[in-house]
Amino acid sequence: MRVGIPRALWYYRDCIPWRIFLEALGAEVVVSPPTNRVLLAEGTRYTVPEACLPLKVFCGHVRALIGQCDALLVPAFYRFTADATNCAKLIGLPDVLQATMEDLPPLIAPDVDLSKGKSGLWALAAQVGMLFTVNPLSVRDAAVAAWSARTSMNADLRAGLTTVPELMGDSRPKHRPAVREGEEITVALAGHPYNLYDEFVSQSLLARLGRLGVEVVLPERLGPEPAVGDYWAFEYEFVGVAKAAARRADVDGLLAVVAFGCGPDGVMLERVQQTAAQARLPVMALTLDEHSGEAGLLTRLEAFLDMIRWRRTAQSHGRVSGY
Amino acid sequence: MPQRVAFPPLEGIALAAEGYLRALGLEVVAVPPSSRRTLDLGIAHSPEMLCAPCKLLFGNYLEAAERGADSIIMLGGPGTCRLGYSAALHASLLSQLGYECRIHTLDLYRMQRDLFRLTREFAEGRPFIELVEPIRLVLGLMHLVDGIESRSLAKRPLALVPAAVERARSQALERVRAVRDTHQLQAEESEILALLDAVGCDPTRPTLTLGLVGDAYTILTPFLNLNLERELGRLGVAVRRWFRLDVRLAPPLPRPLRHDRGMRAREAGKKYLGRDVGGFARATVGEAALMAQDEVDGLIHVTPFNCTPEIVAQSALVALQRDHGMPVLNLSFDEQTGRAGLITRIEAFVEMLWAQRRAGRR
Repeated sequence: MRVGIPRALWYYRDCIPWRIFLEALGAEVVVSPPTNRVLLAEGTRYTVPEACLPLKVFCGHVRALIGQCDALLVPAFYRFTADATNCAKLIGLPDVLQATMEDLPPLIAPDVDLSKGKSGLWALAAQVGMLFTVNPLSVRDAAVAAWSARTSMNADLRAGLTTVPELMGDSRPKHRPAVREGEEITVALAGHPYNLYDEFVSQSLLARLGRLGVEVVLPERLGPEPAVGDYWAFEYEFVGVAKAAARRADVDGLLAVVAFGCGPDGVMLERVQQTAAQARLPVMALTLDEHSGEAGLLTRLEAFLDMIRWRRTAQSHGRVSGY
Repeated sequence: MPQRVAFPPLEGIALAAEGYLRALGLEVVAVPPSSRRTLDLGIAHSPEMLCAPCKLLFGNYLEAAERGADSIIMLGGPGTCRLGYSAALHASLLSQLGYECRIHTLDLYRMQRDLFRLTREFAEGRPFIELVEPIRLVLGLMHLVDGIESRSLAKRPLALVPAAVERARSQALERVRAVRDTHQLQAEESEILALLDAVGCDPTRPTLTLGLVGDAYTILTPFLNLNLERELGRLGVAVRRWFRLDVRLAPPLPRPLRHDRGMRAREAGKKYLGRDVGGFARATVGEAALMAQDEVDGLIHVTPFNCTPEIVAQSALVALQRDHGMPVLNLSFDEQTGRAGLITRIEAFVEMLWAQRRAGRR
C-alpha cells in the first residue's frame, strides 16, 4: 500500500519516524513535492478564504498526492501535556479535508494525544499499525524503531550534528561570505518548522541569512521541550525558543517567524516580544503570507542586521543602548 | 464581606446571571453595554491578531473594574480556543493595570461543573437548602429570557410596526432585571411574555426562516454584529438562533438517557465534524446540520475574523452545503466591519432565497 505524506505541517518534525514506522510494516511512503506556486494556488482553491497560510499549503500538498497514493496519513494532533490545547485547525485537519475535498483517498487519521505519556504513543502505534498487519508484535517493533529514531534524531538536532533541511535531503553547500572580525552576527530563529524550513513559504530565509553572513541558531539547537503549563501544544517551538534564546549570551537578535492568520502565533507573538524585551534582546517579527514580496523581506532583514550592528558600535563606545 | 461581582454584558444571559448572583446575596456591578469605548480599551491592551470578541471582553472586564467590581466572572477555560489563553492573559493584565479583582472563570465547556463551583465559592458555608432558591431562580430566568428572545426573533418579520417589537423586548428585559425571587418570577412570567405577544402582527405575511450559527459571543452582542438580527427581521426573516441557554445547561445525564437538542445536534454534525476542535465549532456544525433538515431556508454563519474554530466549522459547512444544497452566507466580523457592506450582503442573500422560493426550489 502506498501511503501519502503531505510535505507540510508536521512533516518537518516527524516525517522520518513515520516513514520508518510505515516502511517497517511493509507500506510504501509517497511524499508530495516541495511547495511551489501552483501547489499553493491549488490548495487555496480548496480552503475557506480565512484559512491561514500553513493550512492552504497543507491542502495544496494533499491535492498533489491525490492519485499518487492509496491512503493519506493525516493525524489529528491534540497535545503533548495535560491541559494544553492545540489550534482548532490542527485538531480538525482530517475533518477539514473530508469536508472540502470529495475525491480523497481513505484517510489514516489517528488522534495524537501524548499527554498521558507512553500509553498515548502505544495507542497511536496500534491504531495505525493494525491497519497494515494483524501481528501486534511487528507493530510494537516498528513503533520502537520509529521512536528510537526520533529520539536520536532530536538529540542530533540539539547537538547541532545535523539540521532539519539536511535531514530532509538538502545537501547543497552553504556558502557564507567571510565577515570581518568583530562584525559577526548570531541570530536565533523562533517559529514552527513548517514555516522556517519550507523554502517557498519562508522565501529561503535560511539561505538569505547565510548570504548576509549571519550565523543562525535554529530552534532545535536551543532544545525547548513541551512543558506542563503550556496553553498551546506547540508553544515550546515559539515562546519556549524565545526564552531559551534570551538566556544565551552569544545570540545578538531574535527573528520571530509567524504565518499570517495563525491563531496561536498571533497571540503568542506578544509573549515572545515581551520575553526578548525583558532580556534586552533585539527582536523582529516576520509575518509570512502568500503575497509576501521578496524585496520587502530583504529590506527588513538588512535593516534588522544594521540595527544590531549599530547597537553594538554604540555599546562599544560606551553609549547606553536606546533599546 | 459582600463582594461586588460583575458579569460581562451579554444581554439576556447577563440578566439571568445577575439575578442569580443577587439571589446569592452578592452586590452586582452594572457593567455598561459594549460600546466603541469598550472595544477601544480592548484593542489597546490585546495582541493585534486576537479576535474581536476576546478584545471586546477585555474591554468589558476593564469597564467592570473601573466601576468598582472586586470579583469578575470571566468567560474562558482551558482548551476552549484562544479565549482560554486570552482570559489568562487578561487576568494578569488587570492586576498590572492596578485593579485588584478576583477572577472567577466560567468554563464554557463545563458550564454545569463551573456553576456548581462558583456557587460554592460565592455561597461559602451556607447550607445547601439555602441554595435551592437561587438555583431555581436562575433556571427560571434563563427559561424566561430564552422565551423573550425566541418570541422577538419570531415577531420581528411579522410586526406591523417594527419598532414595537424592540420596545416590547426592552420592556420585557427591564422587567426581568427587576425580578428578585421565584415568587415574583412565577407571578410575572406570563405577564412579561404577554408584552411581546401583544405586539401587533400580520401573521399572513410570508417570511423566510434563517438559522443563525457560529460564535455565540458575536451572535449575542448586537454591538459586534451590527444588529444583525434586527436587520434580518426588517428584511422579513424569522431568525432561529442556535444558542439557547436551556440547551447549554441540559442536565448532565449519561449519554443513552440524553435526547436534548445539544445531543441530537452532536449526532447530526458527526458526519461533518467528528472531533471537538474547540470554541463553538462542533455545536455550530451540529446545529447547522439539524437546521438543514427542513427547519430553515438558509443559514448564516457568524464568525469573528480569524476565529480558528469557526474556520474549521466553515470548512465543515462546505460539505453540508454540498449534501443538502443548503445556502450558507458567511459573515465575518471584526472591529472594522462596516454597516453598509453588511446590509448589502444580507439583502442580496435574502433576495436570492426569495428567488429560489419563487422558482419552487425550496
